[in-house]
Amino acid sequence: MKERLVQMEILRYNPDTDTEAYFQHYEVVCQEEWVVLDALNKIKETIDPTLNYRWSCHMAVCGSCGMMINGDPKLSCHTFLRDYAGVIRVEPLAHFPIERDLVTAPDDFMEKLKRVKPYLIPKAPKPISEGEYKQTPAQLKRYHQFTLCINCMLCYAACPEYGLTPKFIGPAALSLAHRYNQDSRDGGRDERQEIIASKEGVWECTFVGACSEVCPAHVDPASALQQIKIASSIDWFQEHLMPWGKK
Amino acid sequence: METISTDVVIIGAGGAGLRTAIALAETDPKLRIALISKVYPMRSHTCAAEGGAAGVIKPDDSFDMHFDDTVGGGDWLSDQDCVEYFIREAPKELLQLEHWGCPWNREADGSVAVRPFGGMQKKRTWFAADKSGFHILHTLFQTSLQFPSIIRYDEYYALDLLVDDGRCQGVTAMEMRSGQLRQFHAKAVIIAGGGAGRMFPFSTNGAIKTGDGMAMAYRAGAPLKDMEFVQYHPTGLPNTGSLLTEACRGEGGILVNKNGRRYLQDYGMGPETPVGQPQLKTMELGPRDRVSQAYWHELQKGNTVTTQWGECVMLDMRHLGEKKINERLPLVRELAASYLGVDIVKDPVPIRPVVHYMMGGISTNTQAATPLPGLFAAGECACVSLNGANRLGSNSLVELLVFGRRAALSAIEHMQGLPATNTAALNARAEATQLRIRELFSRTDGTESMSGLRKEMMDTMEKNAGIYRTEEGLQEGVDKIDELRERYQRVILTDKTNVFNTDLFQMLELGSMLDCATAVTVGALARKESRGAHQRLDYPERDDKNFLRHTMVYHQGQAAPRVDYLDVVITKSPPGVRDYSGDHK
Amino acid sequence: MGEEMSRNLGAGAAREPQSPPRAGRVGGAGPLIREVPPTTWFFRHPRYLRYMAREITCIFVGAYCVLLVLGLHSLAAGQPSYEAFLVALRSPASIIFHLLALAASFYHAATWFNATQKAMPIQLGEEFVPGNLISGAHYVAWAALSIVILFLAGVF
Repeated sequence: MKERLVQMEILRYNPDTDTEAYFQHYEVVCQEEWVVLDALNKIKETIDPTLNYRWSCHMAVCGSCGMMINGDPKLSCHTFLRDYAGVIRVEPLAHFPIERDLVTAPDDFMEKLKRVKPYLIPKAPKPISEGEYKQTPAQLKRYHQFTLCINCMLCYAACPEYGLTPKFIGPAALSLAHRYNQDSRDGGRDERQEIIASKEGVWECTFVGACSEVCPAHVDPASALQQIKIASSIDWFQEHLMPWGKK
Repeated sequence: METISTDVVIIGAGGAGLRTAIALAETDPKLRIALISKVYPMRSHTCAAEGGAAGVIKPDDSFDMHFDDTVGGGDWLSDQDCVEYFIREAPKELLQLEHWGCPWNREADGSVAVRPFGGMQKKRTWFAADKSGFHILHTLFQTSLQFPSIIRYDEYYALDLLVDDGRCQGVTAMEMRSGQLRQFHAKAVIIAGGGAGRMFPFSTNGAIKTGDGMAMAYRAGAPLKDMEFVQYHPTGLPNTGSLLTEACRGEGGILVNKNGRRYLQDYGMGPETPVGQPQLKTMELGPRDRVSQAYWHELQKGNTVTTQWGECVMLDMRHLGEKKINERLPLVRELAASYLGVDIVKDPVPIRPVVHYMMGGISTNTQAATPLPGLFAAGECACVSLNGANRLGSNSLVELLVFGRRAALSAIEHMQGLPATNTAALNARAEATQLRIRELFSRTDGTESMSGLRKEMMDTMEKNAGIYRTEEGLQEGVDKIDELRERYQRVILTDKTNVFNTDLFQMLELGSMLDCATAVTVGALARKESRGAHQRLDYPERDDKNFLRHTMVYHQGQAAPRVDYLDVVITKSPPGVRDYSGDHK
Repeated sequence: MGEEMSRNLGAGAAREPQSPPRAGRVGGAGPLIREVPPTTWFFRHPRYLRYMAREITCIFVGAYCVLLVLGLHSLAAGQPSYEAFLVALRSPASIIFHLLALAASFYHAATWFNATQKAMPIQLGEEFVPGNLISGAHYVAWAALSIVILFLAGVF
């Protein structure tokens, strides 16, 4: 198998010993077919055990290993060395506080995810003994792509709105709210609406579209957010212009 | 050291841990539940399960058939009372997930769809494309967010169980972002810590699957059961080890050797079935142990394909067509394309068997209780003896639901009328843990490198405890793991800082894996027969007279572990012949 | 859109540390927060520049509307005023402005037409209507309306 000397610049920060972050240069022999994560693992095993980052599945489904690679938010387990020439610059995910090295604190995202009530609020509850809710393949397809979010937070690192206005609930959480709103079994839209259609919600989005460009799971959060905006606008018109038309 | 007093502690927030937490919160909303995990719940390895989850739902299926498939698939090492309980709870749990929003694939009429799976005589595997585990995990995680009584401690690395008065009453854990130790005092502890596949070099398992939960229980005195049964999944990518789900074959994919022959017919799984018309329980839908073992024989005969990633056989799915592949196997297509550069629509993909699942684990009974009072376990880390000597594909995702819930109910029962806690005694135990960690930091005579030791362990496991085993190889394995455990006392900790010190966590994980590896090799050496996933070249037959029993391995400090046995529970299915020869019986 | 953009340019709120405070740490520096530069962030990536181009081109659309209002105003003020307005339109500067405004409007319209498929997906039966059909329909409507206006203006 073809090997190659890979040069990497990795952002380092240890709050125990550093007041500033700095770049550290590494050179490591890698196989051509490796991903950036493989290179990091080899650095940790053979050069510098003090380098820290998160990873687990190595198949782009657990969402642990998001980082900025040459300025782009990427899953390092799904970013191939063959696509890069020259020095590869690796930094922690943008817009999140850096805990240490490439490890960021996702607390803000976790809090926001909880706020949008991303769980089924049944339209008509029924006991398990009565079997499943019927849902046709078409009804499944209506919301299916939004179930594919792996919570890797790359979209938050790509979203300039979130970077500039941290109170923005953000692409992934809003898309998951939309996922449940679109589910034929769900009746919780009104409950979610006051959060997701607020100023901190979809109206903070100016449709840059970066979230959808970087999503490794091929979710289209930008689409979800615009759909929520349209539905919320229709709500508003119904409420204000046709007071008899709503409820 | 800060003490967190709570009612129940759950260690591990994957599928089993989350299901346990929800069951506790639903059953008694007043309970204080601490859910500890070394990763955020969405990162747990349940997310990587692909194929689906088995539960009797369709009119042509029956509990008896699911029972027979599971017991036969497990080569009669399953406890049949456990299997009985499991098969009846399975559909309820899968329906419960449906009610929580899991996006199961559907039939045209809106009912849940099922697909065929290896070793199952009926289609009974519920699936969400080839991301079933991912959807189960996220459905459980998102559902858990509505229960305020579930307090999560994300990125806390659990260290030692707190045992006093013969009861498990808590755990010590390190907050990873600060390096601070905390002790959790609780009336019951449930371990849902997952498997230990990372002790092998080539595994479908994520980096986090290092057997911490198993090792923690083992060190606290609970026995590990049937650890020698390690499942090889027949179809992994040859370079990364990533899983290509059994659904590849369930949907009709075929396995061929370098001569283009569907070689499974030569290993008791024939006769050949027509391409694209998979028949249940035969050929490519044989059980995982048999299919993986067939690869080994092909390798010995020189029938494998030599690729740049080593010796492989080919998984051919071209005849399924692009539409079906995109609908049912999108992840498989993506994985093969990005990591191997193979488009499964156009070309066969090279694959080889890869370590996938531990049938063994912390010994539990059908109530999910371990022999240590107050300690319960569920999911892959537990051995409730559902899977016997070989797990059938799509039983494990259901196992973590059924026994996750069961562990919650048992823990609630256990909590009634307990004597008062001796806080001073627990504090003393916690301080012992603190000393253990402090010693790692202050160690000055470290001479061993951690990654070096880890590699030696992995190589030993692959060489001596692989698909086929011998007395000689296993003895070498036992001796080598023993030596590594001794050398582990002299490993150097390079990073001595506090915040998110993964050097430290990898070192602790290595300790866990070495404990698990001991149980695997010792159990395998003692089991002088071939059954399911444990195949001995020197004892090629199943020996029901001497080994229709569970291996129980007990920790004895630095000394060699004690091996004991426990009878298998047989209710209605006496040991018989495993027949995967289709209609030609 | 322009309004939203300027609001964002002005907003560079510092993020509060999200991790709980930690007692007992040796260094005690805590998590590091890297500020987003409020006025230069869009140079960080071509996709942000493309976004800014979409937003900035709307200025030309607005400016052309102002021009039309000025034309109406001069018409209301009487024939000499209107004649002077028409002469001014024929000046080289005006022609350059018109060409720029036309190009900017084309770009602005195209970016939004391309985005409509995200905002308004249509599901027929099980399948979604392909996105480029939805965007394409907008181009067709645009062309048709343009022809009608040109027809009313007596071009044909």
